[in-house]
Amino acid sequence: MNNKVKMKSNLPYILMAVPALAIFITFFIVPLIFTFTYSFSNWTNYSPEITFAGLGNYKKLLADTTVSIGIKNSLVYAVVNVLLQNIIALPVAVVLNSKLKGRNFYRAIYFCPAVLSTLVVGYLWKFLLSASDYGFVNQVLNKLGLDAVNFLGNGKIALGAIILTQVWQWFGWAMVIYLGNLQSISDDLYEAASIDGAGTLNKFWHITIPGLAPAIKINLITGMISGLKVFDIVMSLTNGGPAHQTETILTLMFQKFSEGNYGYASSFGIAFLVISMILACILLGAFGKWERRLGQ
Amino acid sequence: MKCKKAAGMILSAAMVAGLVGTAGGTTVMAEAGDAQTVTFTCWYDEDDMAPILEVINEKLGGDYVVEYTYVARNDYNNVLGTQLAAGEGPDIIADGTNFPARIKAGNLKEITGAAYLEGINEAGFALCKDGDKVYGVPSYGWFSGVWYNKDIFEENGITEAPKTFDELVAACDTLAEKGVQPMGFGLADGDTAVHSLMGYLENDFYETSEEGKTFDEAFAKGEKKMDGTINDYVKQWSVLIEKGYINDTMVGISNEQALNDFIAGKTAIFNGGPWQYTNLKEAGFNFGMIPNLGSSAENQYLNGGPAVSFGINVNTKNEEGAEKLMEALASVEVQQAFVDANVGGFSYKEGVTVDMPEEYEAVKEILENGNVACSWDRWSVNMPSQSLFDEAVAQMQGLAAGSLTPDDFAKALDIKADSIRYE
Repeated sequence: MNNKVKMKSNLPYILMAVPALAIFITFFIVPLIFTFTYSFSNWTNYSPEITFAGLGNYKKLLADTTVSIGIKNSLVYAVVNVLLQNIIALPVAVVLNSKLKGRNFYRAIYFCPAVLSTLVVGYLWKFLLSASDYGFVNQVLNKLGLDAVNFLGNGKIALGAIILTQVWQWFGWAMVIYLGNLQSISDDLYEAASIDGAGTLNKFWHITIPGLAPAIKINLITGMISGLKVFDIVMSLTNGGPAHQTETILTLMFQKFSEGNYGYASSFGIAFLVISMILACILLGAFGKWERRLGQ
Repeated sequence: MKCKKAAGMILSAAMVAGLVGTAGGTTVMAEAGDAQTVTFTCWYDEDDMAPILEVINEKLGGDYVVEYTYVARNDYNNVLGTQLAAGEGPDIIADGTNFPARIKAGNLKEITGAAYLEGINEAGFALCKDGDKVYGVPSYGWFSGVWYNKDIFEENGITEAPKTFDELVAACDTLAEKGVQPMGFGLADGDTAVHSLMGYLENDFYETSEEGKTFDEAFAKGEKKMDGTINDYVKQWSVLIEKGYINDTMVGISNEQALNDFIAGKTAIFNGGPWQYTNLKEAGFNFGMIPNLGSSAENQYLNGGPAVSFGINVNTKNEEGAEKLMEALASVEVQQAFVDANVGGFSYKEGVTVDMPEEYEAVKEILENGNVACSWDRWSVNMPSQSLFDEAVAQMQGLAAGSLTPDDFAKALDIKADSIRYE
């Protein structure tokens, strides 16, 4: 088949892809190019002229002490959140994949928080975790004879409190992905392993976990990326406080945009994009190796 | 694998694009009929604005009608800034502390000499002027202060409201000894502790010392630093933290929760302002207001200034309508409506009558003397001072939690100011 014929046969598919491609270019590629360009400018809300600033914004970024807090918090949040979510979601999914009575009810209950808006969840937990007399969690702790904990007002534990609310909200989501994958693992494999004398733990490590590789990959990569872009839950629970202790890359970027410091905020965006891409590549590389090893 | 990498890259980059969303608002339109609309955006919600809009439309006399859009306060700078950067935006620009920044950005039309500026006193133009050039008109004046529960004070043997900072601390000591929580601050999202500190600085440094009188101008220009200047004052004020009247627990409490505690009688003192008056009055208890205090009871100052100022968008397509609306906004009737909607607010316009309820007895004289000022309005000549104020609020959380010292506080303000000055 020559190129012309090949082109002709592919034309309907190319045409079908054009609208999506146009939207992608308009709403992603073009803004990305603009963001990249503006990151080298001194564009602010307050200066009528946009002038070239060279690497000034990036130098400022490296010298900004809150940026290191933001990067550290984003990474800690992404890693700890994704690990906790999956450590809880995987065994729960395995249990709820068995012939447990009322398993559909439990599946629905665990998945429920994931359908709520993160902002709503944030404001809800803000009241539950409040250090005031209205704080439900502290009321319970007091009833149990324990001291109240300043969950959101103590910079040392505030990020941990944020992570816990998100583990609560999203582990059901990861669980559903695991459940979907679990149902695709053939029962024949477990039967064969039983005949060979494999115990429950052996079957879990050598059949369930490798069989769940696609789900693990999806959960870890999407969890890590959504973890890095954590924003709304921080805004609703702590607004980056106390004293910037729970700032993340995106809350800082939002702050710079709010201040009308568009050039500087753009450099945040680009730096964030680079960090996310590096992490995504590392994860994809690691999973690629794991999958190849499983395939051998 | 390439596809997977590309997917990862797309997902990563989409996060950046996803953040830059638009924040919406709600629009109120009166019956336009044959009248042309003139647009105006602000952060006061529609219910609060309804009586004011009614008076504005009456003043416009049917030729024009206002189309008002509400945008939440925390989104306001983003929404308005983006519109103005694109050469768009409402016909009338409304802004508070950032009004000078709008002048700086060339977003506002000069209105020097306009007839409707007559009768507005000079203090009202604090945010609307750049040198001798006028770019806007003020609405009403705001101030912040300290609400106290008169019944709790009296029940615990405090018969007179504190007139100095030391008397305030002594009152807190008495209340604490009797098992009453003296102060309630919601530092998770509230800025009231910064108002308390800035009020102390206004009274003890800015208005009473030679250095203080010129400090903010030099600080705004980058010629002077907070660190090494305000440290001792911050340390003196921090006695409230040392004694535990402002503490780390308050960093985990919202301002609304702290207000509820005050209304419920769980705390005796709550820093706030006239915008809480109606709430407190409806709660039906005996309360009063004192200023944020300094060490002297003489020549006291309140933190405050023009609440919101209005100017004409330089890119308006409806210049005549915008002029008419400015004329209406500056009129006695509309200025009166603004004051009436903010019980306890004051006016910069001649002819506007202000009824001060009895709860304001202790601040009445200060207001009559015109002793109302705030440092962040003075900073705004060379920086978006709201950003520095927000930084002070963030650093105050660390100060209250004990993780930062007064020296750290002052240094942090310098670092922030260095990063946001226009020149």
